[in-house]
Amino acid sequence: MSGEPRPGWKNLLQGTARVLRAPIYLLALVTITVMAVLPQFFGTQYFALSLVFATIYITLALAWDLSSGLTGYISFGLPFFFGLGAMATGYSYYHGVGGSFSLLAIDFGVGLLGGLLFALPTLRLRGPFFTLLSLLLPLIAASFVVAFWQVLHMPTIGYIGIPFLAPSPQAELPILSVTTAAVLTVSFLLRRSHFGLVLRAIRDDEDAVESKGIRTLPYKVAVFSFASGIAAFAGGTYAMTTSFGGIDSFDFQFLIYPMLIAIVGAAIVRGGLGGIVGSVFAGYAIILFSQYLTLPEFNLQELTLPIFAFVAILLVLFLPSALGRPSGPREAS
Amino acid sequence: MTRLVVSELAKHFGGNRVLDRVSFSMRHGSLALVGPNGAGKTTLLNALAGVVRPSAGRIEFDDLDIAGLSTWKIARLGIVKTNQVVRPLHSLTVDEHLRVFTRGNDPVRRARALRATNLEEFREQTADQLPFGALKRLELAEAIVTGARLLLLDEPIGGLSRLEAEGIVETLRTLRAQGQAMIIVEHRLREILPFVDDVVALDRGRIIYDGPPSGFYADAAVRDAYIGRTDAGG
Amino acid sequence: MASVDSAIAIILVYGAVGGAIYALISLGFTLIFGVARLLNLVYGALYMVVGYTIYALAVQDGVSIYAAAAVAIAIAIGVGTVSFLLFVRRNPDPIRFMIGTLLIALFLQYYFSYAFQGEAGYIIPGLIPNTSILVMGVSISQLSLLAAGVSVIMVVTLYIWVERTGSGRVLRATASDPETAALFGISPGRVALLVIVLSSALIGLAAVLVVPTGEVTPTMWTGPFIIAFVVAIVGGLGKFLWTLPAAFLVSFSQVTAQYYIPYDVTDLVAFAVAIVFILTLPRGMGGIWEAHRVG
Ligand SMILES: Nc1ncnc2c1ncn2[C@@H]1O[C@H](COP(=O)(O)OP(=O)(O)OP(=O)(O)O)[C@@H](O)[C@H]1O
Ligand SMILES: [Mg+2]
Repeated sequence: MSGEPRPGWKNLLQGTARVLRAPIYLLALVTITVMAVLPQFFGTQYFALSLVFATIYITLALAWDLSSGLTGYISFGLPFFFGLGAMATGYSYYHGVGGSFSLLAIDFGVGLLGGLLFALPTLRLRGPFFTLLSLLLPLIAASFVVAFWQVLHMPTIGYIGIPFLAPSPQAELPILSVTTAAVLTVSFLLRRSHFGLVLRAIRDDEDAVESKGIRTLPYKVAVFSFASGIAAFAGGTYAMTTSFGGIDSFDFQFLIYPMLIAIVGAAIVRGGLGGIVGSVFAGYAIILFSQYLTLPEFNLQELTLPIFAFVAILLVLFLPSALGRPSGPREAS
Repeated sequence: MTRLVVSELAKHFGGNRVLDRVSFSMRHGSLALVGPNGAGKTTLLNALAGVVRPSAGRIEFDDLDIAGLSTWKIARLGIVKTNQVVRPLHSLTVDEHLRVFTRGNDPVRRARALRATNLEEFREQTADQLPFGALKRLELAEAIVTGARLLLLDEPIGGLSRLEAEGIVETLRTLRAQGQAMIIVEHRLREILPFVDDVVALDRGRIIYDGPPSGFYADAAVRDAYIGRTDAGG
Repeated sequence: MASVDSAIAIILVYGAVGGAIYALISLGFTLIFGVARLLNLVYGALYMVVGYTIYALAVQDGVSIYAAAAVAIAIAIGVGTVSFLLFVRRNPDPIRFMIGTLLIALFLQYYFSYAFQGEAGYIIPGLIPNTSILVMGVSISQLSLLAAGVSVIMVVTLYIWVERTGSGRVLRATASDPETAALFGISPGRVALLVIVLSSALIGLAAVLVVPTGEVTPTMWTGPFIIAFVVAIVGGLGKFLWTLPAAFLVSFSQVTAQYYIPYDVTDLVAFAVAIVFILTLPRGMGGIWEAHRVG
């Protein structure tokens, strides 16, 4: 993967193994494992459920960091693909698809396809179009479901009674930890590959990359579609842990938390957004803290989201390293 | 041998005619493109490389009209340009720059370019940390590793010390000796003219000289443009 | 089912009034992008700020609607200006600005949702009573007519200001070429500040006139945001003088579709119009927005 040896399966495997020996990646894996094992012996059901949500948000953060962080093409459409996955789960389930694995595979496919359809026209354009249109996606989707849920034969504005992934949060956690670790591994390898290198180059100066003969569109579209598939997959797991796949999964909390996680993660692992691994550490810390604040004894349930949105604003303002160096207009030469 | 024939090439920015029906062709493997500030040299290279879209005219490269194609298509056909103002990817290391651009991801090609541009000691440093001279060489190295058949070099030694410039000129000489075709835009004629095959001089978007270096300094129009012009005569 | 004549009347009246209102809602957004090249995502939230301020003052505290409206617009200007100063003065980076201003909008949404008890909608009073009159046989709210009238006045005033006065030309010069304008001693920062104040005031005014015809909710910011954004795309990003025709095009498309489709498709139609323009005419009706091709 690192590109030094000549291509070939053996070299590819060796290169992959070498990349995966990175201490920071191993540390992230250990963290995921510990967090999967801990609630089996210790803590309440609520603690286990909080960790389940943490893995889902971390998966979202990884997807966002991989596409937006690495390329600089910031997407606000994450809740759209997340909600798309949740709705697709409900739709497939109501249409006779059984088995968590098949449902999640469908979600991934739907997200991938949705991402492709959105990215192909919009990533052709430079400038702010992509980011702005991506922001419209969750808004439009929500109003679409509200307008058409009856036409679409939904039981309500969403699908209720989706089967749980496993009988308890304690049992769900290991499954979701494995999928989170898998997403982490793939993202980490992609970032270290030649593909990831081109994406970083695009973030720095896309025109310079094109002027040396690399067509950037396929790279941007590929990574965005993949990330959208992952986001939809995460939406599917969310629907299966809450038993509901509906309009509330288009909410912007599924953008705020992942962005916050990726930004804090970028500050932990130096190098700005697109660093991938930091999201694991930041994700557990942020989601556990947020779930902790939501406990009834603090009486802060309703304030948790505004507090975290506010923290995110402060981070964007005062953590210049997290977003990387501003890529101002360059002098034409 | 690469074939480049430019005919009646024009570029306007608004009402400003920057290239005025420029025609020339590459007869040998190297050509110096010279002229006073603002003559339109960079704009001409940009038009060849697809960075700006020509207003009119043809650019034939191996019998294909490439005028108006996008930069990546032209680069894949084999024409790659360096920037007059260095333009590195600021968060990437030197090695990563070359890995992005190396044709076929060939490590041998990359290693050779690193050595040729004397950048080995900076391999692991990000572009942010490089001194100006190294950035200039990186600009050249990036173009070399693409395997382009025709390099368009916009002031490759501009702003460099005499010593640094000698290093780059030496690199260019070596490339030439290996058969690399190139068009070099330079103000530092003394360093560049001795080893190019042809010279094209531009002034205010028009070609005022097109011939061998030997006849360049003696040409009346060139003398006019560089030293003797009275602006009233225009 | 109505006759063809009344169909045309309905589409004409609602389309025209809606178009004028859309222009008022979008003007500030297109202005900021046109002059400061910034996509201000707080913009829609200011609309919501005005709604809740008027609700708190006029409904909860019994303050007169005129005073409440004035205070609300002042607060909108304050919030708009502070967000701008925070993100532009400190970090002049467009990505940071977009993320930061979106987060401010979302913070306000969640904060209002918390402070005003959930998703319930509130009704606020308008400057004039919300009664309907007949125009061409079509019943329409007087408030909407007032909003449409004010919009036309605002658009015309802005047009005259930009085209005919010295200070307006400064604005136009900055919009078409900030760097050259700076060479002539025009401070782009100063102009941007002026524009942000102006645009915050415009969306505040729009809210005062338009919100009373609907409800105050924590997600109400998305409505004006979608409209402003789509109108900006259709007119051409940066071509703020094209706001009025673009707004009419969006409004008429929506009203026509809505007339024939029995579901609420206004947002979908707006989105579809934006996509069609981006695919076929990315520079919008105004034409000449350079699609960032630098070498
Ligand atoms: N993008 C542009 N828009 C408008 N005018 C331009 C643009 N690019 C170049 N010009 C104008 O074209 C003319 C030629 O510029 P160009 O950069 O090609 O000159 P040059 O010969 O490379 O000069 P130098 O030796 O200083 O690099 C100049 O007057 C310049 O102002
Ligand atoms: Mg030049």
